[in-house]
Amino acid sequence: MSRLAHIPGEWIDRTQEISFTFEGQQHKGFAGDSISAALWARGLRTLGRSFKYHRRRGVLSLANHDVNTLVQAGDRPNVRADIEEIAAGGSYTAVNTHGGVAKDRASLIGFFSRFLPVGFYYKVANSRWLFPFWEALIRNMSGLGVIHFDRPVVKTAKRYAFCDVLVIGGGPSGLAAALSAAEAGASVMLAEENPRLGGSGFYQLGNDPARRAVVKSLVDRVTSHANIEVRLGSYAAAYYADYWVPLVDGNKMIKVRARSVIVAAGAYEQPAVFRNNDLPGVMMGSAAQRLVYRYAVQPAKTMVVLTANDDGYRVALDMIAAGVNLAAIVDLRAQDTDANLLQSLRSQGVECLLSCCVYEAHAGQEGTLSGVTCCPLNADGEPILAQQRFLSCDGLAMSVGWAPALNLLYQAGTSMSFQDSTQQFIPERLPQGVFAAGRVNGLYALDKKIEDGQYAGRQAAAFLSLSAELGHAPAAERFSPSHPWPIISHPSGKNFIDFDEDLQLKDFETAVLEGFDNIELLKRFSTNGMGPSQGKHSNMNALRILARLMGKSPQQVGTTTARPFFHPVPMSILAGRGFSPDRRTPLHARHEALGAVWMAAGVWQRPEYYAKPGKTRTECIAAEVAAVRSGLGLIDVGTLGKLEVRGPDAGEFLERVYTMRYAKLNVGATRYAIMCDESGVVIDDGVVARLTPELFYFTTTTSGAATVYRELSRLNTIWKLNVGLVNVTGARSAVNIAGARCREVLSKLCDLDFSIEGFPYLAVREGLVAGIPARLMRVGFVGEWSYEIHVPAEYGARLWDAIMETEPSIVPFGVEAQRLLRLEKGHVIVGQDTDGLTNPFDIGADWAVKFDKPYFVGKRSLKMITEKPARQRLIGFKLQSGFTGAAPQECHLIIEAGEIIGRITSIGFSAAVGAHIGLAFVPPTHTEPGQILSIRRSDGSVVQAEVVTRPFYDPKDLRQKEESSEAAA
Amino acid sequence: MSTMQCAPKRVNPFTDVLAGTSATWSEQCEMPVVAQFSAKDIEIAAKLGMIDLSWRLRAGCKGPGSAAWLEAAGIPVPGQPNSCIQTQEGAVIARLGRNEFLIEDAADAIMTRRLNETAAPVGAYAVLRQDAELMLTGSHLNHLLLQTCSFDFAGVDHSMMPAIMTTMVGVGITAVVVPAPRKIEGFALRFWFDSSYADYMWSTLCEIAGELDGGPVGIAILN
Repeated sequence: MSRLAHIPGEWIDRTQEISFTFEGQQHKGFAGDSISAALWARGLRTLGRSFKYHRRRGVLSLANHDVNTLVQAGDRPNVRADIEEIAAGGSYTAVNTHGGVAKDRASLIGFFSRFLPVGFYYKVANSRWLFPFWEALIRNMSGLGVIHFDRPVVKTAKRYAFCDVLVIGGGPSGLAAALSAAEAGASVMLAEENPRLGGSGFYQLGNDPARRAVVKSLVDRVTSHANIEVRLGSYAAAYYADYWVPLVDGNKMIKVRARSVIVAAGAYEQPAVFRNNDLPGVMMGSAAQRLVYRYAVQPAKTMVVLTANDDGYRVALDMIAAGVNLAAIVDLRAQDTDANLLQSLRSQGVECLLSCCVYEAHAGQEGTLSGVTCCPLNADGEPILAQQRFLSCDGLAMSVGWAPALNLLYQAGTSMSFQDSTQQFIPERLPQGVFAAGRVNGLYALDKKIEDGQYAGRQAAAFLSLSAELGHAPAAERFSPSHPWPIISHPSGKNFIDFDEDLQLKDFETAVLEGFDNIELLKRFSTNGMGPSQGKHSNMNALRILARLMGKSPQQVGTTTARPFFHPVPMSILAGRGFSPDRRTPLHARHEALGAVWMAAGVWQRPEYYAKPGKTRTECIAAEVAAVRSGLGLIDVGTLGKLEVRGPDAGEFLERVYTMRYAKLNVGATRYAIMCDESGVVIDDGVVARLTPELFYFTTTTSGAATVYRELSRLNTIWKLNVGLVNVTGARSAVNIAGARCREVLSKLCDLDFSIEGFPYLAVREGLVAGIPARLMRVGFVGEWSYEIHVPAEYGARLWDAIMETEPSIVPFGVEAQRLLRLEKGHVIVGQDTDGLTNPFDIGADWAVKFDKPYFVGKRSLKMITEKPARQRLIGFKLQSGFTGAAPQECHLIIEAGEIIGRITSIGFSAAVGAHIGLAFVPPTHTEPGQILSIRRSDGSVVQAEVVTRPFYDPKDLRQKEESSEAAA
Repeated sequence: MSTMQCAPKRVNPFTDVLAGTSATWSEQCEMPVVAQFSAKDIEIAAKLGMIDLSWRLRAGCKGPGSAAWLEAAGIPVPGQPNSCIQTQEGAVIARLGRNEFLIEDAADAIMTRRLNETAAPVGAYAVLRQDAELMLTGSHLNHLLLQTCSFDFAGVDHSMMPAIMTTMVGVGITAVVVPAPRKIEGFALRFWFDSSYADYMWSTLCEIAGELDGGPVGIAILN
C-alpha cells in the first residue's frame, strides 16, 4: 500500500471506501480515485499491455492519454483507466490481452519483433498469397475492447451554448484569462477537462505551498464570479469556423458558439527516449505529481528523476515531500538550471548528476522497473558508455520537455513558428478573435502564465469592444522548458517513441531510409500518432528525429495536420439524439389506413403501393395499374414542388429558367418544363401553368423543390427582374385523379366545365372542388385522362375524402404504379432516367429546347453539345413476350463485344403491352427499332431485348381524346 | 349535377400525431384543436408547455407594394425587416423581409378579413400561409431551445419583438418571443413552420419536453 496521509486539495474522499474488481481480483479505493491511481495505491504496477508487443505498461501520464491502460468496464470498451473514477462494484479488465494482464501469452510477439518491421501492415499486403494468412492473424491479434451490441441505446442529447468568451483550459493561465475577460464585462464560459479547476497549478508545486495559494485564490475568484460559467469535465474537442467549439463531457456534446475564444490548453509532458522507457514505474514527472497531489498515492519507494528543465527539480522536491527516497536527479543539461532549486535539492542530500542521461532501464523479476543505467554525456550529447552507473529504483520520473496543446489553434487557422529558445511551436499569427495564453505561448513559469492569461483576457475584451486597455504580453522564458534531443540510441532498441503503437527509434530511422522522409508520409507509414492518444506523446520526438535525419530544422519539417477531433469522442456522443426531419403530406393517415407501404422520396414519406391481404407486392402494383387503365385511380402528388412566380417579368423569368417558351403562354394553359444547369445537364422538370398574365404556378420534382427555389431566388438576385417567388410546396396538397371516368366524378364535386372545349388537355382552371378553392390542371403523365387538383394543405384530407366518398370504387395507387404507368407512356423521370451528365438531347427532348430564345440557363452549353457527336440516347426496349425468369433490373448493363455500351434506367412488366418494357441509354448507333441489345444481369447471364419506339402504350394519345375516353368509360 | 359548395372544416396539421390521445377537443376558426390534455395542463405549462396555435387564421403578402397594402387595410406595419408587432388582442404582424409579411389573427379573425377585402395595390400579392404553429412556455423553455436550436434566444432583446428565422430540430422556423399567457410567468416562444413537418416536430419536441418535465398543453390555458 502506498497511500499517503491527507494531502491538501486531494481529489479523493476518504470517508467513502469503494470496492471494485480488476482482472477478477477484489480491490478497494476511495471515491474520487481513478482506476489507475487506486490500483497503484494497492501496489499493482502492470495495469495494461501494449498494443503490438504486449509489453507491460503502467502509469505514464495520468492525464487522459495512457492508452496502454485501457480497460473494459462492463459493456463499455476502452475506458481510460488513468482518469476514469472507480465505481462501487465496478468490474474492470485490461483490454488486448490473451490470458490476462499479468501473464499475457501474446507477449511472446516481442521475441519476433525483428520480423515485424515498420510498415509491416503495408508490406504483408504486398503478398497476394500470404495476405489472407496475415489478415486473419492481425484481425485475431489486434483490437482493444469488446463492443456489446446488446447495450441499450442511450440517446445523448446535444445542446447549444453561447458566450462572449470561451476559455479553453482551467489552469493558471485559463483562470487568469477568464477573470480578466469577465471583469471587463464579458460573459465567459470556462471549459476544463478535469473534474476540478487549477490544472498544473495544484500539482507542479515543488513543495511550495505559496504556489498552491496563488492558484487557489484564482479558482475562488473564478467560481464566485457572476460572469463566469465553469464547465468541468468538458474538453474542447475541436475548433470550427466562427468560434464554434464542441465541448464533450461524460454524457453529451455541447456546441458552443462564442464571440471570441482563448486557448489556454497547456502542454503535454513528453517522454525521454531510452531503452525500456516503457517499463511500469517509468512515468512522466507530472504523472508522479498527479499521483501525489490528486490521489495521495506515493509513486514509488525509491525514484530517480530524469530532467532537462526546472519542472524536474520541482518533481524531485515534491517526491521528497511525499516520502520518496530520491536516488538521484539526472539532468541532461550541463547548465541553465535554476540555482535555487539545485541548491535546495543538494542541501537535502540529493545527488544531482548534470550533463548525464538514463541510458537504459532494467526490469526486475516482476517485469517492472528495478533500476536504471546512467551515463555522462559527451560534448556531442552522446552517452559515455565507459562511465555507466547503475541506480537501483522502482520509479523513474521523466521531465525533459513539453509539447504545447496547439491542436485547436491549428484548426482555427493559426500560423505557427518553431521557437528555438523554448524548443516548441508557438502561435505566430492568430485568427481574429482567437487568443492564446500560457504554455501554448511558450510560457511556463507560474507568474508568466498568469500574466499571459490576463493579457489574453484583455485582448478578448478589447476585441469585443468591452475594454480598450491591453497592457503588455509577458517576456519570454529565459531557459528552455524542453530539451532539443531527449533521445538516447541503444543497439538493442526498445526505446519507444510512440507508446500507442510500440514504435521504436529504429523504426523511424528505417522509415526515413525507405524514403518516407516527409512528416505526413512518415506518420502514415510508421503509424506514429495514429493511435488513441493521437501522437500527443510522440509527434514532437518524431519530428525531432526526422529533422535530425534530414538535416533540417523542426520549422522546416513542420507538423502533421491537426484535424478534428483532437481527442477521441465516443460514438454515442457523436451520434447524439438524431434530428432527421421527415415530411408528410396531409393525406398520410389516409394512406396508412389503406395499408400503404412507405418509401422515402427525399425527405418525404410516400406510399410505394397499398398492401392487400393475400397479394404480393407485384400483384398489388399490377392491380393499381390495371385500375387506372380500366377504371379510376387516385394518387397523392402533394410532394411535388409547388412554386409561384408573380410580377410583370414573370414570363421573362421562366423563359430564362426553362428551355421552352412561356412569355406567350396563354392564361389558362400549361406547358411541360425542363430545367438545365449552366452545363446543359437536365436538373429538374415539371409543369408551368399560367393563371393570370402576371402569375405562373409551376411544379418541380419532389426532391428538387427546395433546390430549385433556392437556385431561382439566386438567379433573380442576379437578374433583378420585377418578379416575386413564393414556395408553396408545403402549403398546398395535391392529388391526381386518373382514368376515363375522372370527369364524371369531378363533375359531382365541381361546377367547372369539364368538356374538352371548356377544359382541354394541358389546360389549368381555378374553381371550387367540394367547396375547396382549387387549382386543376389537366395532365397526361400516367397516360389517361386525368386532373391534378391542388388545394390549401388544411383541406387536402377533405378533398381526398370527398373524392373517395363520391366514387367508392376509385383505387388509390402508389409511386410504383405511377412509375409503371408513365413508363408505358415512355415519360422520363428526372433523376431516374437521367443522371449528372444527361442533357435534353440524350433523352429525346430536343423539341423542348428553344434555341431561338435570347437566353436560357444552359443554352450556350447545349449549343456546343449540338455541334459534337451524340454520346448516348435514351431508347425504349422490350423483352420477348414470353420471357420468363428473373427480369433485368435498373442499372443493369448493356454489353456488346465484351464492352459496356449502355445501361437500363427503367424497367417493368407492362400488362398493357404484354411484355417487360424499359428505357435504356445506348450509343446513337443502337437506336433503330428492331435492333437487339444484350443486357447482362447480376449473375452474369445475358438477356436479349429489342429496341422499340416510344411510347409503348397509346402511341397516338387517343386516351386524351374525348371519343376514346368515352368509349373506355 | 350535384356540387358541394359549402366550405369544409379545416384540418389541424397535428391531427394525425394526436390521434388516439385522450385529450378534450374544441373548435377554433373552423379547425379542431385540443382544449385540454389533462388536468395538469397549467402545471406542465409552467415548466414547459407546447400549445398548438395552428388554428389561427393567417395570411401572407409579398412584393414592394405589400406595406402599402397593409396600411390600406388598416393593419399596423412593423418598421424594420425581421421584426413584428403583437396587438392587444394577440394578433401578430411579422415583417419577414423588406417586402414580405405574415399576418396572423387572434380569435376575432379581423385582420385577415380586412386584408382580403382590400384590393392589393400594384406590386403586392397574397401568399398562401398554411403554417403549423406552436407556442412554448415555462421555466424550462430555454433548456429545450438549447437542445433544439442553434440560435441564442437568451441574447434577444424581447422588447424589440424580433422575428427570428432559424431552424429547430432541423426544420426552418420563424419565431417571435412574446409575453407568456397570463397564467404563466415569463416569456413564451411562438413559432411557425411548414405544416408538412408537423408530425415530426410534435413528436421530437414532445420527447425532449418530456425529459424536461414538460409536454403538450391545451389552448384552454390561454383563456
